[in-house]
Amino acid sequence: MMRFRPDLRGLLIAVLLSVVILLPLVNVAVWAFTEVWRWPAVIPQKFGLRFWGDVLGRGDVWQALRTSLALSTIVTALSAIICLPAAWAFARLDFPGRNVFFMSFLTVYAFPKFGLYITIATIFLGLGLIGSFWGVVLIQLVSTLMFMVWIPVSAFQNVDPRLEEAARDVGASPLRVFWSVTLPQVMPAVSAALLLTFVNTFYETEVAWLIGAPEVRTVPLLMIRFINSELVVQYGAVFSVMLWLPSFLLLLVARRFLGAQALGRALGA
Amino acid sequence: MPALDIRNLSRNFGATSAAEDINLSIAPGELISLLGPSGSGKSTLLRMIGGFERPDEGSIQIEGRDVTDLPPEKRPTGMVFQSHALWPHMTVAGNIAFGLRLRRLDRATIEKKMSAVLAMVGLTGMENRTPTKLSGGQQQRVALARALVLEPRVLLLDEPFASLDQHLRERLRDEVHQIQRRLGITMVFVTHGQDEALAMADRIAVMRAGRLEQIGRPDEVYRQPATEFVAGFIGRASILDVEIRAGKAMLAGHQIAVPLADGPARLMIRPEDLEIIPGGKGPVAEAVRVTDFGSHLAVEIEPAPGLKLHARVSTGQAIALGAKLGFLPRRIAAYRDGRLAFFTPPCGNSSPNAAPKMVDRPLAYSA
Amino acid sequence: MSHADNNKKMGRGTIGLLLVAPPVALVIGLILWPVALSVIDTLTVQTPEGPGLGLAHYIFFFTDGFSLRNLWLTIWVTAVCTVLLLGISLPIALYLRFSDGRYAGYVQTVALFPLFVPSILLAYALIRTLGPNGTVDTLLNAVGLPKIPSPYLTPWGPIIGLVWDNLPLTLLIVLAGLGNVSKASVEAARDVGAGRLQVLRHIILPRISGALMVAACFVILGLFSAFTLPWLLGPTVPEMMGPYMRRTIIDVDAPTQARTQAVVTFLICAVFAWFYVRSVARGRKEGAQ
Repeated sequence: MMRFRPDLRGLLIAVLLSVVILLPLVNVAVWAFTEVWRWPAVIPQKFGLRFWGDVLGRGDVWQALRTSLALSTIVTALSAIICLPAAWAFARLDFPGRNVFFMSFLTVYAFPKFGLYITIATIFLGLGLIGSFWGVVLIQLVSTLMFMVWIPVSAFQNVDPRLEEAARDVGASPLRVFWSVTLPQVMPAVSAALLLTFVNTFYETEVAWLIGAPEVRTVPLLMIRFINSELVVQYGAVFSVMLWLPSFLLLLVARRFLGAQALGRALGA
Repeated sequence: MPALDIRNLSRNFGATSAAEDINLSIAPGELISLLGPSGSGKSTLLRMIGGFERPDEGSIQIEGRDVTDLPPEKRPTGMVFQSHALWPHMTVAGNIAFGLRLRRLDRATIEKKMSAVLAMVGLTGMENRTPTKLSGGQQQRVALARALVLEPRVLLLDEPFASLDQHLRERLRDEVHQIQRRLGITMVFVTHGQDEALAMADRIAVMRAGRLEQIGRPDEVYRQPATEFVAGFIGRASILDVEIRAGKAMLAGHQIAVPLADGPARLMIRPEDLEIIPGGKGPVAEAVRVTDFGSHLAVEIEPAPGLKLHARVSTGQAIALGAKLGFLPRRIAAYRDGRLAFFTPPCGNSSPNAAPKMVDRPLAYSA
Repeated sequence: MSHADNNKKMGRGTIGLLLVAPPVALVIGLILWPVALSVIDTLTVQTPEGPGLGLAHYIFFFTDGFSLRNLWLTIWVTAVCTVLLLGISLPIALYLRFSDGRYAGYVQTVALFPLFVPSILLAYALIRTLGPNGTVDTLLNAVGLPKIPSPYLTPWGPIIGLVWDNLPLTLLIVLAGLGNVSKASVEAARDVGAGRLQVLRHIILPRISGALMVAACFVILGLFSAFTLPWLLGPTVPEMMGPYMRRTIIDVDAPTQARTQAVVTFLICAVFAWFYVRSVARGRKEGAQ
């Protein structure tokens, strides 16, 4: 007698999760390729790409994209310059106060983030930095510190010192060792941190809305505008699909690089 | 009525078959060892008995009751895991008493049972220790106590001594054996160490690739291995191809009586059945390797190029490397198509003997 | 140690300090300093003799009905979200860890998917789905059921959004905690007669209580200062602390009051923050040993 093994629990969880998580996203995707969808139809009356043309033709869309890309690039670059050498120092060198300073990056997470932004904003208000591009850069930089220090530190610590010793043994100078042995080994983790920083900054809404508005118009802020005042639903939908691209790239990278266990432990479990 | 009756049990993992049509019947109080190489399916079979794996086909009955569809918590089995699996957040007492508390026994009964079982495994006074503070042997004892205290009808052990060192392993083995004898509890234990199986078991079930190759008493399995695999897996064996003509086969110069039909066959000789006669007459072989094991010498001889035979010689005889030695096979077993076709009967006469059937329902045990 | 070694060690020490100076300076300058400044500023009151210490700002906050209602809403939403998040991620984590179900791979992929959906896009998607005439309304209408009141612009809007958004991270922390419970432990418990719920209560929960606490703290810290989803999906009166603080500083232009509100949120979260930092620090130490 053949035993059939139904996984009812799993099926239930899978179905519920699919509905809850995928339904809203599928909905937006459908809207993005819709030309006419009137209530109460379950599927659109007419599909089409008309609104793609409209959205791509809007000046404010391109301006927001430029602003966001510039912002993300600058913040990521600055973060790398500031944090990576520090990460190397934390991992390899011993100096007074090393542990204290290292733990200090955790303070970013010890406060409710938005409350922190508010306290900074009150200072910026006095300094007239509200509405300035570099004000936004500065604060977004701070929120990248945790990832850009802790992940590379872990990567540097995981480099087997014997590999470096072997390179020194065959005559390589310290700089050469760093370039040819250390760097390639930490590259995956560091690249992941850079990508994470770039993507997070690209989608960052709270600092932008608090400090940058209304002069610095990033892509998330434009999205807020679409949500609040745009009557044509499709603009927001098309924009959403367009905007999702960096996240999608992150998804592809994460599938290959990060495991679920590692991420959970990194968050403190 | 058998304590444990397994019929036509099968379990597949995708394309691999972990258990294929297993039939096994165990009498009350019997100690059975599931023996086999890694991947033979012995652990899977044990886990199916315990309820941790569900078979695809077949049935399992414990004392006449069909437990095939019962989850582990409802089966009258107790399992001692390879990794002991003690709960680190409970003390020794907590670990042992947990099952008793689930059954809502009163405090006095629990205390009594716990003291009794701790005494049995030799851990009196350890109630308040935590598992992490115990040695490997002590941890396994607690695991055993935890299973025994619930008085299971069948006790299952999954390579319980694998992580212990040699001496501890032997000591624990003897203790477990004594406990089993004293309680008369039916026990199935999985091992890949034949020493353990041969020392402890009433019967050994040899498994390979999900199939039961042979089940029988240790001396049966050793002296009359039903298949070539069993012959090679248990103890040492020299196996060689011969051609049988008119009831006789040539074995490196010796003529052996093998009353089988003409054709190819494979002969198996145990090292202790190959007598070494230094300076003997007749065919000689060169000793190509001599290893002194203290209690005996293992001599490898090469009667013909490429043909190696293993022999076991008691200490006292000085065998030099390269010496030309006479040899005489005393007892052989002949295999056709991998299965036992003939074996030299114990008295030494070469008389025809039918191949023993693979015993699946022992007739010697009564209900 | 020789003199040369000592010098070398000090030299390396100096290099180390120099290299870590920039990010540490950022932390001090943009986190610790503003917090300190805010605390001092909010404790400063104008008295006839000049500025002095006083709790006037905090007294105002805690006696102002409007502020209190916003604070209470935030606490309530945070509590509900935390309970929901733990209550949803635990069964999923148990399934992923202990059942060899055939849907495990799919479930894990879908459950972690929100990690790759930015909050702002989530807000838009939820409005389209849960808002008036959204997908839910459409589907209900199609099967002839009456419309249910939309959670959009009620406290349930942000609750749904925040739970959706935080599910992956909570799940990951709980899963990592479950990694400490061996399968053999669970099997041994079932072997001695424990049913599923008993295994959960006696064997699993005691071992993962730490991870659950970490998950709760992490979630609470994030929820208490949530801004985007409450602002876009939630009610305007009362509102959660995030939007409230922004309105106070940008629209009402009352920086000191905003600082007071921020410090209040810090204080409420302090216990959870301390616990979270301690857990992470301890985890790092154990990992390094």
